[in-house]
Amino acid sequence: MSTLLETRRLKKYYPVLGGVLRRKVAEIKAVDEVNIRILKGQCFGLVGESGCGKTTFGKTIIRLLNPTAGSIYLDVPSDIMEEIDKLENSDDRDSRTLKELRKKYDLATYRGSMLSGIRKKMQIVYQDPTSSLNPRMLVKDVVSEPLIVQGLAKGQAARKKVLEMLYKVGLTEKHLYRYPHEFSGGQRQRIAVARALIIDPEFVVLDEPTSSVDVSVRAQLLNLFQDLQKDLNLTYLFVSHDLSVVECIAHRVAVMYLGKIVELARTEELYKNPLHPYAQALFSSIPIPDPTVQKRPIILTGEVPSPVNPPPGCRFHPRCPKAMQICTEKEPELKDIGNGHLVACHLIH
Amino acid sequence: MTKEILVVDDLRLNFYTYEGVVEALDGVNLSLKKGETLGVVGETGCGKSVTGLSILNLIPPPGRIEGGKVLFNPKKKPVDLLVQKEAILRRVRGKYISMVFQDPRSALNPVYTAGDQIAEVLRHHRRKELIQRSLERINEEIEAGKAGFLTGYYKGIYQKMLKNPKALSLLILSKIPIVSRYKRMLNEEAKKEAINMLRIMRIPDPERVVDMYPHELSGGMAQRVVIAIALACNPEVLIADEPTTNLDVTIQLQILDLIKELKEKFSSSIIYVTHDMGVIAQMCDRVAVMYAGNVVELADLFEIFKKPLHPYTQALLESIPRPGKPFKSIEGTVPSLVNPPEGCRFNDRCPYAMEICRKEKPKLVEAKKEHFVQCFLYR
Amino acid sequence: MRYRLREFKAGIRPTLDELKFTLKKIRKSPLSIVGTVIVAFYITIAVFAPVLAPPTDPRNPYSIFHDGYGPTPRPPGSPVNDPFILSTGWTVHFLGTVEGQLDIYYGCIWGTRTAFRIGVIVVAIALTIGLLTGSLAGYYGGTIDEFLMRFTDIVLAFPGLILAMALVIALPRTWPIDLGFLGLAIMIFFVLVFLGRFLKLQGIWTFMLGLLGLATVVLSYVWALGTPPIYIIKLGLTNLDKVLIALALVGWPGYTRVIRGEILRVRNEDYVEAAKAVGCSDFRVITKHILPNAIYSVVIMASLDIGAIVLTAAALSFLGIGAPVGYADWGQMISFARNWIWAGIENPWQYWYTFTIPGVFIFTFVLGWNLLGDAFRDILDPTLRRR
Repeated sequence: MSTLLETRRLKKYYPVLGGVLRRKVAEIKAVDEVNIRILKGQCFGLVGESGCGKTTFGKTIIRLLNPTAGSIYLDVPSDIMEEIDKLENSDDRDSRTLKELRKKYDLATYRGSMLSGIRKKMQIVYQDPTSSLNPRMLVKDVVSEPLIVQGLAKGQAARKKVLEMLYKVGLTEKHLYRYPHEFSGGQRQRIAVARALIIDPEFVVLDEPTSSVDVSVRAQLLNLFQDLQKDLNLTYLFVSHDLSVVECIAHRVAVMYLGKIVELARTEELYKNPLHPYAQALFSSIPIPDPTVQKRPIILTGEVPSPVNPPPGCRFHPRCPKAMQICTEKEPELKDIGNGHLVACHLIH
Repeated sequence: MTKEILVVDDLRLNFYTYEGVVEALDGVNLSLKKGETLGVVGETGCGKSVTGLSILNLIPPPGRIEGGKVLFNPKKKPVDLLVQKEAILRRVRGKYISMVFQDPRSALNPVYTAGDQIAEVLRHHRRKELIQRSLERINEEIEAGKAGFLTGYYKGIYQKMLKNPKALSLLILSKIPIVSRYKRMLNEEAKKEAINMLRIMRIPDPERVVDMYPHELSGGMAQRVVIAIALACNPEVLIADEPTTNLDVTIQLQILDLIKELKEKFSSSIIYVTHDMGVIAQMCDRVAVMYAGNVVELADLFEIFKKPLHPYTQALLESIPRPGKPFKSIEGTVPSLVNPPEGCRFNDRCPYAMEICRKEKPKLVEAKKEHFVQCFLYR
Repeated sequence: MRYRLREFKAGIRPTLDELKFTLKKIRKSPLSIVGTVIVAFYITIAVFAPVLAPPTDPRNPYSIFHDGYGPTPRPPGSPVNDPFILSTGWTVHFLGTVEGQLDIYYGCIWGTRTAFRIGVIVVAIALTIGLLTGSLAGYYGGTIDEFLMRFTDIVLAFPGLILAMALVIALPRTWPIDLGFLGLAIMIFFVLVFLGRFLKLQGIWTFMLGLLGLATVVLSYVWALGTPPIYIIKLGLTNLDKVLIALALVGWPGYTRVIRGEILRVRNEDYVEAAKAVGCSDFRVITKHILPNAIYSVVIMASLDIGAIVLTAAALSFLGIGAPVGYADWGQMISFARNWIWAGIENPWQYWYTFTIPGVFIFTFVLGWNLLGDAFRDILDPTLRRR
């Protein structure tokens, strides 16, 4: 399978302004040097707790936020990727060819009209369907707006497309002329999905789409996502803090902590055998809806530190039950230990 | 047989909105035994949160309790909380029955420090104890010879507070600005007790946290402060309304562990309202499943998970996403409570619906020992 | 054809539903009904003024007819004496006359039209300026925000009444407008707009372009003052118009602040970001997504303002600045009653009708708009709407 999306050393820092002259005193390192690769047709899960930067990462990838540094490559043919690789690894960092290639393919450098051009290919579905739909717009307008703005269809043709899309997500013609507040949470989320998919994107970021709906509706939405992925050949980035949902729908899962990826593997592999101490604690803390299963969960001490001043060395070491001396000094690299399972921990290396 | 400390009997609640009358609770029956954790589980709109609120009669207008009883039985005679006067209810809330809310940030008043808010509860309900402690401290000071010239005066006031708290002289004195400094001692005692409560909640460095404002606290810590306020007066019953839904998974684990430990320590009974079946499996002894304003099943934890009787419970358990298995959801949507369907409210989605389900509403019957179901399949 | 009709009906249905809901809400609150009734009543009077009080001089309907020149006001029901006026159909002074024998009934009826003119024009201008500045400041933030808000602060420092008085004295009676250069300025503006669309400029650049256009217009006008005119028309400015200009010039900062606040609240909502993710231009985001959700407070403020502006204008007319003498304006009429409020020891309230009747008109007009404003807030405020 070919790579659809790849990020290289992606960073998103927010400046903290302080002092009388409002200068930059510190930086919130929301996303700090993240490299991932998402294959076409795959559902890539990104888990972590609040404040770890997963939502920021999702929004930065599709350029809703401007990255501070790093590169994003969307659907770049493999030979060009190889060339970029070669140029980056050589000493020729500032060569003109590299710069030109970057300007053409690296999404992080896009501005203005090139940026509006790629909006067609990447879309996002938000967490809270109530606030992600304009309360003063009819469903018909909400779903047809992307078509009109991108100049793909107008009037009658647009209405036909809207109807097609609504049928695909499980709504009917009756729902066209209604306001969002007349629907339930699950239905609103479907409208948001329809809006995201109507312009035929290749890549969709699902930002905790099932967190604000009920358990029974969750299953409906997950079915919908899977069906649509097969139908329309989509690639997902499924961001969530709900580990049990991600386990069911994602092919590969990455665990994020304080802006860095600490472990990345295939879903079954990761859930069965987490290696990083944070991942172990995280997976052991999922409450299992079965009273006969008695686990000994690993309870972490302390709170998540603020991303303004991350601890030196490995960011997890103040809470890690297995921290060593080296963990306070050097940051561990994300290394592949075999069969696509990557871990960033000194214990494993 | 363990005593039933709280019984909700046929509770009916209506909300009178512009859209019509929302029949939020349609005859809810629950019972909480002493020392157990009762889980109330259901989806959005099933009425679990308002059940908790109506036990304490905290339903805001346009809601109105239309019928039923809430029998609270701490000592010998059960008392119906719904007919009590406000003054008596105020003595019950916080001291005998207290509540922990879902969003810690909005449950705490942003302009008061955490310590102030815990101290407020203490001053209201454990006043006598605090006065006695202040008196002891004053006596110690006198004995140690460190008495200032006002100490004798303070002693007199505190003794008066102990004997006759509603005295007119106290009322006047407490309003005069400089003279009312005697309250300072009471506040200090309250603050010490608040620090103690925070330490029990396993908050590190409680002396510093006690002076922090809610916006300076993280979600987990804020929720611990809310739990501290709830448990400050050692209530008999604790109603926890989705206390960990807004928290991260690892923090949730810490809080759940804390609640389990505190239940032992304070020997309270807990009503735990949530929509997360996993949490129920970890925390509860008995479970009540609610749907559209009714309790449809009430049984032991293992019974509910292993042998659910009501079709809704079965469907709910099946719809929990499991890896490798296809996702099964419940057909249809929750009925609008403005025009609830006739008969059993689940009949339009129930795979076993019969003719009678559309006409009459089933009653909660004991299908097996200690296992109650509200369904015509089990009569 | 039938399909179109069906489409139209289906499209209208949710708007109708919302309208029905709004009407139900209005019916539930008695004060809103009172407000609506009062305002509707005044609108009817204003619309049917020529029927209710046929003008004696059809070319100048706003000048109140006067029945002779007698200084003492006459009570309601006094007959008309002047033969010319009798010939036009007026037989009796329904509500009496005021000093100079100006008919109170006529003045109040036509004064309604003046009141609406004052209120609506001033609020419309102030609202437009306020919306423009507030939207730009709220949406773009940063230096634009600072710049615009400090400018607004400067304007806020001007005292409205005193500015009105100053303008009445300072502005000439006629204002010459050079149509040639006006046309040129408008053409430049449109050229710039098309240039912007052609170059597909985004956001901040369109704003810069707009500023450039504005600067060009102003500079060209200044330059034009020194050159021979192309085609001048003289715009007549009555004192009342000058008062309107003054009130509009100082009335807009309130709207700017309110709209800016609302936009700051709305622009962080998810649906605004979703619109940007779909590729909407800044203009579309502001007009279609942000403003429809942010406009409630402004609408409420506008309706309350109409009453307030009319009151201010009445005060200015009472002081003598404002409507010309004999003009049908409520404040004018009260100013004529100045000497007749207290008529001596015996029977002091003899001439009560001179100031009470116009006063009642002003009072109920402002009350009606205030209640309507409250009603709008109760109806339109999304947080209160769904209770």
